[in-house]
Amino acid sequence: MDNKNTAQLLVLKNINKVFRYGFFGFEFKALDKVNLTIEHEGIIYTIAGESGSGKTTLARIILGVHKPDEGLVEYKGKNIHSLKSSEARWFRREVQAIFQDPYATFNPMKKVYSYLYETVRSFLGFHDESEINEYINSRLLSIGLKLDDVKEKYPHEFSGGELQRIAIAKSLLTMPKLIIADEPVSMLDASFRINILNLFKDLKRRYNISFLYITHDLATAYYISDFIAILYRGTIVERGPTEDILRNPLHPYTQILLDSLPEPDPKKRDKYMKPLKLSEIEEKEFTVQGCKFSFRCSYSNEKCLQTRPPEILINNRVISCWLYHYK
Amino acid sequence: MLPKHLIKYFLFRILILLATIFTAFTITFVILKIMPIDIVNNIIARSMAVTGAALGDPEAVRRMYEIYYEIFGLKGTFIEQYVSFLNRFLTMDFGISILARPATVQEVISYRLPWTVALLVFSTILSWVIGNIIGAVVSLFEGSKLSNILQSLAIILYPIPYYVFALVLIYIFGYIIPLFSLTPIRLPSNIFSLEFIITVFRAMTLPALSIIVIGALGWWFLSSRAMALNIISEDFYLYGEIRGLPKLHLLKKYLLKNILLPQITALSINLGTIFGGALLTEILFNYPGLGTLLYQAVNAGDYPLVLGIVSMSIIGVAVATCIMDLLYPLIDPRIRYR
Amino acid sequence: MGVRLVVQGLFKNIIKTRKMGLKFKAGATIFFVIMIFGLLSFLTPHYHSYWYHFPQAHPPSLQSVDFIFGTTSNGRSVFWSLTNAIVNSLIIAVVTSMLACHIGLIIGILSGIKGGVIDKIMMFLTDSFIAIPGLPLTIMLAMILKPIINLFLLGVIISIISWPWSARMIRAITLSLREKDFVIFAKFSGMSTWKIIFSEIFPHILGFHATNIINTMLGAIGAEVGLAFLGLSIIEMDTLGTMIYWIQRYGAILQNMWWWVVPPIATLILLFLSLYLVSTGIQEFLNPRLRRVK
Ligand SMILES: Nc1ncnc2c1ncn2[C@@H]1O[C@H](COP(=O)(O)OP(=O)(O)O)[C@@H](O)[C@H]1O
Ligand SMILES: [Mg+2]
Repeated sequence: MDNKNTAQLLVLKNINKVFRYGFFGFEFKALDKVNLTIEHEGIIYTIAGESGSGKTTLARIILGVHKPDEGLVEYKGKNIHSLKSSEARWFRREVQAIFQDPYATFNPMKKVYSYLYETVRSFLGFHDESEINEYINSRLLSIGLKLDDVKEKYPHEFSGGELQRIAIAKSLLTMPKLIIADEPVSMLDASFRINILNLFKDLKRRYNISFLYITHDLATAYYISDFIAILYRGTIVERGPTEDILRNPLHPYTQILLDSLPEPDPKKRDKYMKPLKLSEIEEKEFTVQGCKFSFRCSYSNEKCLQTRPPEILINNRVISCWLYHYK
Repeated sequence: MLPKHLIKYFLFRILILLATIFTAFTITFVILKIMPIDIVNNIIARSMAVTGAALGDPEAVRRMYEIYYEIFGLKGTFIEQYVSFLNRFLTMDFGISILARPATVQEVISYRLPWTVALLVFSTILSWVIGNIIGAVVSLFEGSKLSNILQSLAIILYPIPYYVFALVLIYIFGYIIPLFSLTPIRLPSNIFSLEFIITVFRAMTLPALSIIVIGALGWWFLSSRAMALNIISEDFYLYGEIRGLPKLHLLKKYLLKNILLPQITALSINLGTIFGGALLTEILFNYPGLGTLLYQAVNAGDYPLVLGIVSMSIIGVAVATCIMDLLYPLIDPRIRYR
Repeated sequence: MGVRLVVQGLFKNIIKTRKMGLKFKAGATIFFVIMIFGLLSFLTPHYHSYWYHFPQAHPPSLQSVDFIFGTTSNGRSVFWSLTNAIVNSLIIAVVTSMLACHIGLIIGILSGIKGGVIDKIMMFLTDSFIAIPGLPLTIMLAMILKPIINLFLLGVIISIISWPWSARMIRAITLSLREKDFVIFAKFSGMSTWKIIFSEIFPHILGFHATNIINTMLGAIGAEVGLAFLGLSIIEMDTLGTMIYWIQRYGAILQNMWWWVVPPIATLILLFLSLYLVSTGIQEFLNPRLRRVK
């Protein structure tokens, strides 16, 4: 399987995902023509967007939990939605996941250690108990945890930050190449956040691991990531190097996001957008033909409403907005 | 003119209707095939006991047996059995009713069907409307005495089947307050006379009342109230309240608008249960519909008639559900959007 | 391993029942009282099985236990009939709920986990069963099986119309669980599908399963009464349905034999109420936001 090393690490091509409610009822696109590439190992790629923009759905499609209605997810050149069972094990060893709420990911009735044990036994083929312990201990030590402090404990005996660290340690056991982290710090105390983010940076540097870091918080994205994609209502409006995009946002939505950054309350952020009745917009935004942002955008015109903007390459970034067409 | 996707939806729904009826009969066929009992001999023994030699005409007897053999899949190859079974059920051709001979099963059923449809349509619509409105209105006065009383009442009424509640009604109205006659209806021959209308009204009142009370104050009230309370706890409702919109406006534009659509779906899902409950309720009041007919048929061992009513119910409920689903997109704006 | 977790989960839930709400407590108390009353049936005297052993239509009197609730038009003790009816109706209810809920559980979980073609086939079958109006089908079966009917068989017949709802609900729950972070996390920790079903998914379904069992019991008791209206229950046995059947047969309501009419109807209503209260009590306890009725 290593002959694919030349292939890009992760490629999303034209991903569409539709959720349907009821027998015939309402349907809407949670993801609409999403393209994204993580070229190689050792990259932290941020997906940023408001809640409900489809970030988690995207993560789940990459993890193989949801199947996209259209489009491809390729990991090292292989379509991850049509893996054979041996390949699926390989995929789960190379790609690991960390979630928002560590208390909701660990089973409260199981010792935390059982997850570590199971991972090593099942993915690395170790059978000898002491061998497994030794291996786990060495990995825990590398991120500053001790096996004895962990071994006999249940999830509720740890703080959120500690538990998230253990989840990260668990994912490191398989020596992954890519870690999908869905809002890994948003539920943690501020003091733990920077701690975990530093750990990501550190792991990237030491082990050359790539991260897909999902967040609604542009400040943390700026702090750790190399690339960023801005998601709005299931479409990526702008993607490219973090430094470029956050220093010089081109898409009107990204501009509004950055302007409103000091305003933590998303409801109050609305004052930066065109005043419109919210429930009305949402229904229209799900069904609009053209740009999803056109109802709130102060630059929008008839064309924006009618036709989806194409992906336009400007320097290092890709942007979906009619403003930059023919420029 | 209907938009294209609606036509597609209609055609698809009708296809589903056909598939449903077809599968339902197939399931019935399979269930009857695996019955651990010699059905036909049992039936014949019973029919003979009931009708004796009265059936008279040996040709008629022979034909009856033939029908039984066909219905219960005892004639010909498996495929032939299946085809003739389907044919009988789809056309409701079960020959002559033992109970009402020489009338055929189809004739007896078509005579009683309007009564059942009238009772069902009248009481279901009324209970749905009353229950949902009361539920939404009461949610505006959550915590008040009236709301608490209605809620306790609903919790008691909700799990009671119509037909058990009907017994309570019979006891109250039939004996304690003898307003309504419980003896079988004798209809005046002139269907345009006032007497006819009064008779029908008196026949319908008690069965309808038991369905409406349980349906409205139980099911629909509880679910509508729960939905309304959910909406009230949401932000957009709060804004509306803060903006000082009058209660009537909140009720109409915020609550009822958002409650009625899912409740139509709930109604269409529960149609089968409502239908079954109504049939049994008929029996208790001697109401001259399909339920009472079913009772008479069961007691007379009139298998052709029972099978006819079963097949009628399957087709009837499937068609009614389909009609409701077809009306739905005309009411729901979200489906219209696509 | 999986089984241990399930038992642990159950145990924890049982301990927590002390914190259950008023609805649960009220429901459980009523049910308990009815049960104790039903258990008196084990003291039933042998002569209870004969008709006309007692004077007919005798109003209640305190002369002996047999007469506490009076006698019926066919000269039987209402008291002993009622105690036996409670037990027999509950047997039918338990048979039905054990069969229907567990068939529903297995089909629902398999459908939800496996997905794909298996899911499509199973759900088509389930939906077709749901589309058949239950009562007429049950009546047809009960009529055909009348010569060999017994408590167990009656439970089987009622199960035929009850399992599809359970299967649908369990599948929906399984589908939503399958996407939960803890299941994905377990999968990426190398756990096998079966282990995930037992230790991650099953414990979360248990709560619904418990309320479903109770609701199915409620439905089964009602269905038996419905069949009895048509004389299709086990007429020679005392059940809540057959008691009402005989009341109807003898026109007891119109003769105002309230001592015969009121006990089975009141018991039925109390039984419905208690089971309903217990099931919503559990539901609200498991999901405090779920203050709604389906
Ligand atoms: N399994 C699902 N079924 C139906 N709708 C879903 C499902 N998962 C997510 N959604 C909907 O998709 C949209 C995007 O959700 P999500 O990806 O969770 O957003 P985010 O993670 O950015 O907050 C939301 O409107 C959500 O309600
Ligand atoms: Mg999310």
